[in-house]
Amino acid sequence: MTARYDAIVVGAGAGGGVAACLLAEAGKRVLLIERGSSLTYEQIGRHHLKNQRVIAWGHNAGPFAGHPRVTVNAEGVEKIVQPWDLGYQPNAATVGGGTRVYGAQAWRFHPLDFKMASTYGVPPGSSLADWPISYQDLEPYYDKVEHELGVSGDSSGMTHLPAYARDYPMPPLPMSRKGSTLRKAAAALGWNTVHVPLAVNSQPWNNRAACIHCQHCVGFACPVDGKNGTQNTFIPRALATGRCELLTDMMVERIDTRDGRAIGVIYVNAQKRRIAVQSDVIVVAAGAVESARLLLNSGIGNDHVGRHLQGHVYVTVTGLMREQMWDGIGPGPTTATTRWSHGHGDVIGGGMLADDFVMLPTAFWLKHRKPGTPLWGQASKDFMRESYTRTLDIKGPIQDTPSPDARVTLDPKVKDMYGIPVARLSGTTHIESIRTAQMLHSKAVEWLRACDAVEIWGDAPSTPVLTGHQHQAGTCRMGDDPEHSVVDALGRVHGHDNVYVADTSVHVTNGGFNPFLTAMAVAYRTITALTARW
Amino acid sequence: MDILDPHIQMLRAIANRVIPPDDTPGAGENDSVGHAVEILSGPLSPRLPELRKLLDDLNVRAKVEHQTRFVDLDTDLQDALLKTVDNQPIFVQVCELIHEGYWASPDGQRTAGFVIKG
Repeated sequence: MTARYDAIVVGAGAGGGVAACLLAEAGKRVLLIERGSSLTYEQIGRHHLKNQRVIAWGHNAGPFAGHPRVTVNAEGVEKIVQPWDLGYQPNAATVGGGTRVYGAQAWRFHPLDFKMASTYGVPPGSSLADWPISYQDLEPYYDKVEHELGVSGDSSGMTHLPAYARDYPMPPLPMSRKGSTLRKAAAALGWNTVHVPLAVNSQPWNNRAACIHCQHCVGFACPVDGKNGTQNTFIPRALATGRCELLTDMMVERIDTRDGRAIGVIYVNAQKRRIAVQSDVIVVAAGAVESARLLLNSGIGNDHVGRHLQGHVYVTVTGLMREQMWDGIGPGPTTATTRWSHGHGDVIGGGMLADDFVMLPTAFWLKHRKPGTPLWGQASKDFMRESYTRTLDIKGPIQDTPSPDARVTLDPKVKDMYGIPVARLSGTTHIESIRTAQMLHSKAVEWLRACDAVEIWGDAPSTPVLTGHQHQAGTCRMGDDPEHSVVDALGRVHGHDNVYVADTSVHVTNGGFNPFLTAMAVAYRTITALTARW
Repeated sequence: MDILDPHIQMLRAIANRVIPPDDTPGAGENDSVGHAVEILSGPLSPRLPELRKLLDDLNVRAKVEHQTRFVDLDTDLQDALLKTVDNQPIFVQVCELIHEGYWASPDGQRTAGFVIKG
């Protein structure tokens, strides 16, 4: 007999964790299916070369072998890529998803991030569009997620936003030497600064410890469970109801339909056996690449499924300072400016700039060393010795201008370890993203000069590439018009009143900020509306 | 890595020139070479023939020019030979692997007296 549930949630990450929790707490019987494992701290480990931040020779939170994708470059050259290869656009595949190992920057989007087309116009060749909802529609859910996930910060500094209904549940994490330097320079420039909000405990909270300020935050699990993700908040709440069953290491192959209506899913177990389960509602929350892949493999949704793949073009600039900057106080980001988010020059949007996470030495050597540094000899060693502790990095995301040709399709030949057609990734972000990034880069340089950096390096982006990676979004965009969107303003797939998407796939644009808080707030709103009428 | 002991010795000597010992250890004195060997035995194994050729060529030149093995040369003479090959892609790759192994930790920070809960 086929197992039956009220709702099946595919993907136990940021959005899926919220969805499973709210559905179960509303009295629904929920099956939460995750293709990855429930990884412990020891299993994730702390290898400096194999983690979600520095994927030099592998990573630590999945997906692992057996899950290839295909990339197609501008010349049409195809390549099969593994999860640790350049171009794969990975995000962690484990219970908690990316929130298991992220840096936890918990930003709300700017109000204009929801109105990019009506603010700036639509560049030719782009798919820039407005969201069908506003910041005001989402504000109550930002508040709920901040308080139920656990975010540290100071809302009084968020002057680029309407006043918060209430402050964050925890005060900001301690200031660092870098943050103090940046604040002083920003004040001299007349720029605002804000505490970087982090889903990290600045004090004991929710029966878990406060952050111990180690140097292994972004890319790793937290040794004291002081970093908040859905794996230690929403998912345990779901399981505690007794109405949510969590299945891990199971791959959902497709949404099962009968006479055009979704009736459940078919998933594949470790023995490659296909199992059918039925439900009244299916919530897809597998991440922008995998959610699109699932809908495509299921024949659900329209031509926009898989299109508008976006992430964030990042600006990164490094300054060599006269004095030591490194103080070892993790996580690292303390101070940001939102001065350049919108309305500067003739570029579209802008972005946020902030100090970076505490950088491990290998990450500095691999990604941030000064161009022209000798590769060998005493000079290479002296560079690290003299520079590593004296650098100040500023980085930040811009709002990508999406392209309809940056997309996920299904590869006709390549299949994963379960025999399921894999995602094929092609296209690039729109050229306007590069112009915006170059504007933001100039501001990062200006900030470092104001900090009295003796040398500055790090080039501005110059060539559009396919963005996505851990901030992947856009492939099941939200909209009122079924001709131009995949889901409606309540996350329901057009033409399928019982299939929902509850992850970053629904983002029309991806803001000039880390997107996970918005994804969780949108999921919260979607499922709240669903349970209200169910 | 299916490589003869002499090649490992050479890699260790080269590692000590990539990141030389001074008041702190050189890369030949920690496990940087172990990391390089692990990667060259695994994902980069297709480049082993290229690496063997580089190491063998260096050794031949050491013997021809200085009548001794590369590993037995003074460091100045080792550097002089390495300067003649340092634009070769495989040498660049070896340098990157040595740096990775030197600056990285496979264990990260270890616990000291408390229980990991995360």
